[in-house]
Amino acid sequence: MNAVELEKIRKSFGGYVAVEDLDLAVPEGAINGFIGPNGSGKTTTLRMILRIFFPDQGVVRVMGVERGKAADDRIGYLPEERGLYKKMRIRDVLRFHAELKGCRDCVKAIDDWLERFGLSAWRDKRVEALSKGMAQKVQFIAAVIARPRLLILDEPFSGLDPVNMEVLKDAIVELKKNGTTILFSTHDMDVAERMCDRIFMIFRGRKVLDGTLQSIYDQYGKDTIRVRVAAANGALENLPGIIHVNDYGGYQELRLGAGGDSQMVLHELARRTRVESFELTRPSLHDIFVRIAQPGAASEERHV
Amino acid sequence: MFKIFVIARREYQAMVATKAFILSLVLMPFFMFGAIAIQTYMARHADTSPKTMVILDGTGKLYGPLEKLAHERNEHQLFDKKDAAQVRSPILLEKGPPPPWNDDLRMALSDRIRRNEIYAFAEIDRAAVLLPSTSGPLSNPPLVRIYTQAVGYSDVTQWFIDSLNKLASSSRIEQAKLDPRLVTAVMAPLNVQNLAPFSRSSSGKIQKASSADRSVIFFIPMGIMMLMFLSLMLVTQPMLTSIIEEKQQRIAEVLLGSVSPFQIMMGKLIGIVAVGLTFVAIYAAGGYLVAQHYGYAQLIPLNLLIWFIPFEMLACLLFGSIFIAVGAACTEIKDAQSLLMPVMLVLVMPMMIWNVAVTEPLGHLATWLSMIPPATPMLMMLRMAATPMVPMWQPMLGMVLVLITAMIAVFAAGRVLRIGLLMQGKAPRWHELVRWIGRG
Repeated sequence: MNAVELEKIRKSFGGYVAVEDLDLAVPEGAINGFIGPNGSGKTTTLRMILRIFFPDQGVVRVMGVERGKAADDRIGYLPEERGLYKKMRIRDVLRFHAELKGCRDCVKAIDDWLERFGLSAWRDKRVEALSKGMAQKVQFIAAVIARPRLLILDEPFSGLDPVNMEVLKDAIVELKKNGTTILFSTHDMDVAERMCDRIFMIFRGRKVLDGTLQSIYDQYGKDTIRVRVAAANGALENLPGIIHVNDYGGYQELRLGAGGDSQMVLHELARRTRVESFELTRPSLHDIFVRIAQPGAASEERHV
Repeated sequence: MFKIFVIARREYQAMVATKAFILSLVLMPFFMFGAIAIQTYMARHADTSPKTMVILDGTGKLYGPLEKLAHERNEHQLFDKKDAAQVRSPILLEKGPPPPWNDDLRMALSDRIRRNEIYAFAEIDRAAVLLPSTSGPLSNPPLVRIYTQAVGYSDVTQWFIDSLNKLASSSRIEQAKLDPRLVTAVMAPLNVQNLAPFSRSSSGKIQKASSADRSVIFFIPMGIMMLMFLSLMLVTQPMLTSIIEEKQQRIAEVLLGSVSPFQIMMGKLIGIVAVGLTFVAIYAAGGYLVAQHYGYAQLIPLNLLIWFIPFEMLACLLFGSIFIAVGAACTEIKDAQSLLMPVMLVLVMPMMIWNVAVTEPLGHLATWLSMIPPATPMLMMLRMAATPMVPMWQPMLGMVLVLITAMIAVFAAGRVLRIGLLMQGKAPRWHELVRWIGRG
């Protein structure tokens, strides 16, 4: 069963079309990554799932309910821009959010979560006293405190240090194990690659990627050559069959065009310079994202 | 319903359990009574340096008696009888040259005023002590001219005018060969006592009219209206900043993930009403205790509470929803304030006409203005506190009108809130807000 189903969704603001003809099926009990460049319509889509916005056309079905009330207690939401009352104490703000989700007896759950995130000593402090990372963790607790069945996280990891990212990641994975469906948007492709069972990407309001990570990789095939050469300057220009070169400094990535032959490339490179490493690989999610979203990349844009 | 209660409780706590609220509870009476205290203090610490007046006496008869009166005043009237502090200036007179006087002299004396050597100079015409003709039309040309830099009547000029009138009257009585005691008896003013009407106590006994100071009775309606005004100011302003904070800090979006805009607004409105009633309860109880202490408790119309409370609640709803709507439409507090300017004018309007409404509570102006819903709660209470003669249909109709207006305001604010809460950037204008309301 799907936790969320969108059918032929369209949403515009004035003359600007934010989301167009969008179909989406978010399977239950999985971690689903929602990617796309800034302004592509991710937040608008999430807000429609939350019923903060209503689509101009199409159907939004959340946990089987098509016309739910404005807010559903079974959904937890962490918005992209964090919002907590600065003057409230941590435990009060968490109790407030729990009660808004209809959870009346939440003191123990609050203490457990604060303990888990190393914030117990801060429970009686005001929100304004927290660092950015701490505030983000408190906001996350506010989103999950009422044990949601569907958890929507808009950029949950932005601004967190690696240690806190790890803590949050573990919490999300545990929620998934306990049956919570997770849908999160992110700009961090590494995170999406490591965590998500399924990836959706929208670009300019339309869906351009949809599937498991493996199916997306399969779609693009092994068209990337990762090389390290002695003299990168000039040696990588005009290689046969290569349509794009991306220099990362330490190594370079070459993309094979249709009909390109990696053996020919290796041969030509060895003729020009000393090849230290040569690996034929699939493109990373990051590459796929950039291919779709970079300026002038319309040729890569395939609506799915 | 529980969610509305959760929002209301948070709003209430955010407004009441703050230092600002407690401070304003303490400071508001301090400022109100502080003004009176400052006036009393200023009166006690007024300029009491000697004031010199040059008298140009055209009659040739008045300077001597005036000087005698000044001397008497300086002997007996300069000090407060209770604590012997000097509260007034001694008056010193200086005799000027006899007439005729020219402008050079006036100029020279004026320069002395500007150099602070003298306080004033006065010209007394020769005719000042003559008995005016009783036949033919009474002409009243100025016979005395006082030149001074002081604006209005100061204590010194007032003394001079009073003394001069007294001396002129006795001179005229003498010329008319009348008995001064008879004249005093004839002209003695009647002693008029100003009383509140009789009333009936709760046990049905007729209560005697209070002989309390009428000025106290005059100010009680004003106090009742002020109470409502202050409570409205106290709840609406924090509501505005709170909703703008929710927008700026993006709290609104988190809230909308859990509750509907309607629930947010109802919660906020209930919070506002609760804070308003808390404020009124504290102030009314405090005011009653103070009045009881000074023996004025029977003057406070407690029976009006049954009108005051619903009017207070409706006013909180009406103005609260307007402030919520404007707050939701704006991202910056200054945008909200400029948008609220006309609302503030409506809010303070009753304060501008309170005097008329208290002196003529049944007059056309007060009656009709008290039927205009935003002004109704305050003006109707003012009128009802000023006189028990307000026909019962008027507050009833007023209540219905305010109720309808408040319901429209709540409905409209709900629509603005739904659109405005997630909107960032430029504040809309009034006509755009109207369009939002229409669009739904």
